[in-house]
Amino acid sequence: MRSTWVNVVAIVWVSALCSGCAPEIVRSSIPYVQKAGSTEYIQLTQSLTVPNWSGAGNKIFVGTRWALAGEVSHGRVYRSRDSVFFLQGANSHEAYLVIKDNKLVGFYLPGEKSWSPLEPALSIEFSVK
Amino acid sequence: MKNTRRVFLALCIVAVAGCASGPKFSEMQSKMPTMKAGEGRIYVYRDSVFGAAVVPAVYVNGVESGRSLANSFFYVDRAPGEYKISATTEVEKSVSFALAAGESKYVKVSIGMGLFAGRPNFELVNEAGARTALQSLSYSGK
Repeated sequence: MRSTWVNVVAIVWVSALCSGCAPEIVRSSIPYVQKAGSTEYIQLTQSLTVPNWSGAGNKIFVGTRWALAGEVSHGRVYRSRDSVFFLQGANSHEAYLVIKDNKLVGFYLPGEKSWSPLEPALSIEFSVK
Repeated sequence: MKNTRRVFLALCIVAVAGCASGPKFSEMQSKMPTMKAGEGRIYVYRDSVFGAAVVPAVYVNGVESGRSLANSFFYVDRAPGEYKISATTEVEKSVSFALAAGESKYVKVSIGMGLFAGRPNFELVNEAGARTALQSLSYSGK
C-alpha cells in the first residue's frame, strides 16, 4: 500500500518537473523595419492554433485584430491590438505575427529583435482594414 | 501529534513571511505617480500563495528591481526599449518584451514545482486581466 503511494507521488512529481522542462524557442537576430504611423490592421476571419513549444497549444482567435507594426525579410509583422501575445517555451517571449502570402510563417520577438520560424507555415485567414 | 503541530506552525510562519504587507493596489492606485513623459511602466505581480516560501529576486535587464512575494506587486518606470524580466531559483526563467513610451506592460509571476525548490514562471497579461488581479494585491516595491 505504501509503495503504491510512493509511486503515485513520484509520478506526480516527475510529471510536474517535465512540464517545466519545455525546450527553448528557436530564434535568431533579424533586421526589423518599423512602420511608424501605419493605421492598417487585419482581423482574423478564422481561429488558428499554433504549436506551442510547451505543448499546450496557443490559439489565435477569430475576430482578433493585429496592427501592421513593421516588416522583416520573411514577411509583414503584425502586433496584437486587443491583447498581448507571447510564446512560451523554456522562457516566455512577446511575439508579433509574421505573415507572407496569407501564411503565418513565424514570429518576430520584439523584446529580443529576433525571428522565430514556424515550420510548417500555417494558412491564416483575415480581412484587411 | 505535538510534532505535527510544530511542523504546521513552522509552515504557517514560512508562508506568512513570504507574503507582502504593503498597501493594496486598490488603495494606492490613485496616489501612484504618473509616468514621466517618454517612459513606460512595467508591473510585476504574483497573485497566488502557492509556493509562498519561495521569494525570488526579480531582475529587469539584469538589475535587481524587486522581490516577488505571494499576493504582491511592484512596478518600475523605464525608457522605451527591449526588456527581459528574470528570476532564479534552481533555474533561471525570463520573459522578454518591448516597451513603448506611455505603455504599461503587466508581467505575472507564478511558482511551479521544481526538483528542490519552486521554479518561477512568467506570463505577459493584458491590461484588463492584470488590473483585475492587481486590485487585491499588496505593494512590495522599494
